[in-house]
Amino acid sequence: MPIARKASATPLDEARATAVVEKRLVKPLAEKEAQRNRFSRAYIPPQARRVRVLDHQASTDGRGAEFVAFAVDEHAGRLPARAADDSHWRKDAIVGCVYPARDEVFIKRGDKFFGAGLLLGQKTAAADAVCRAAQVALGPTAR
Amino acid sequence: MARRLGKLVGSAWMLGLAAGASIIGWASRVYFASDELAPFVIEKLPLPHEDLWLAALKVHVVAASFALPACLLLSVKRLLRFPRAHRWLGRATGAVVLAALVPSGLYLSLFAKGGGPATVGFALSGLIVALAMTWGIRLARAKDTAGHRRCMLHVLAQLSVAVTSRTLLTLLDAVGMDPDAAYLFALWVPVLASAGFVEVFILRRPHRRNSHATKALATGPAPGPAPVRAPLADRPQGFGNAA
Repeated sequence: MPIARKASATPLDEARATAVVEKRLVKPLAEKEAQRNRFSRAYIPPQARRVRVLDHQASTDGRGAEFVAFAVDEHAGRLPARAADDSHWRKDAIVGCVYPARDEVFIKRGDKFFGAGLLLGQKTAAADAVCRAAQVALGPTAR
Repeated sequence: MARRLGKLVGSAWMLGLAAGASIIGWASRVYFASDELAPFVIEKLPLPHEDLWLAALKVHVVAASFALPACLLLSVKRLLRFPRAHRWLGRATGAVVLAALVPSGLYLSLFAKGGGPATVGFALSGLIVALAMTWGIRLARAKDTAGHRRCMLHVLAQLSVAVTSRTLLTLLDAVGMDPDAAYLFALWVPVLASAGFVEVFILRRPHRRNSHATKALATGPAPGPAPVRAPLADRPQGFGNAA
């Protein structure tokens, strides 16, 4: 039977989604990285991050909650002129989904989604039912 | 003058390595904190055998925290005056490197950031360390001091990659190089440069000694009954006698 992604009827508030990602992920991550030792093989914290909302319309997951996909780009280096040049931004350094109404942010690792707390050092198990749009069965006539 | 400058650079290099090793060792405490994941761990997740990987990381961190400072101590000329201490510290270092540092490092290299080229780079460094350490132990037992020194300098040079690679990473980040490319560059360049530097450094030293010897002989034999000895006569044939 054909299936389709279940989309939301409400208009997407992109600014709200971006604000939640900033508040729940980007800001606490920058604060944590400011205290970190840079002499490490772990990634070197970027100079700047920017959030992009990827979906034009919110999707609804199996729990009935609305979410949108987002990506975070990063800018490395201490040369300020480069920040203005889009080609010097590392695209999709972090990808995931945000639930604006619930204030929840999940990040994608491999094919699994984890709470944003993982990037902040919290031990987090993979979340199964999030960031995946509920499938709506289309009738046989839809063929 | 050149010799003095060389000594100064050598001392600064050793101090730099000691400082780098201390910073890395101190920062590695985060891997043993039970309540928080370290950034190096976070970026690797999810892993197929997470517990095994974490165990290998901890073994590697502890082994490296001992091995690099120990190798630095073992190469300090003044401490070579205490052969018994040198032997025992050398034995302990050899055991730690061969039983813990290299095996754990080779396992970790399979999951290295940067994929295949990074895995090969880390594995190459680990194999140089293992081969040089094994060969160096054999040469020490055979009383081949020059050969032993050559091998152990290779071990120290590869262990120093931990410091030089991180320094290079920081510099490349400052100029805004792509982090993935920078990671590979900062791995391969120190690994190859360290191996090359030891060979060049070691191969040049006998020349210098020999040229001094020629000058000494040219002035004629010293007064007294003692015969003139060739400078390397009491050493086995090797790549240098800088021990």
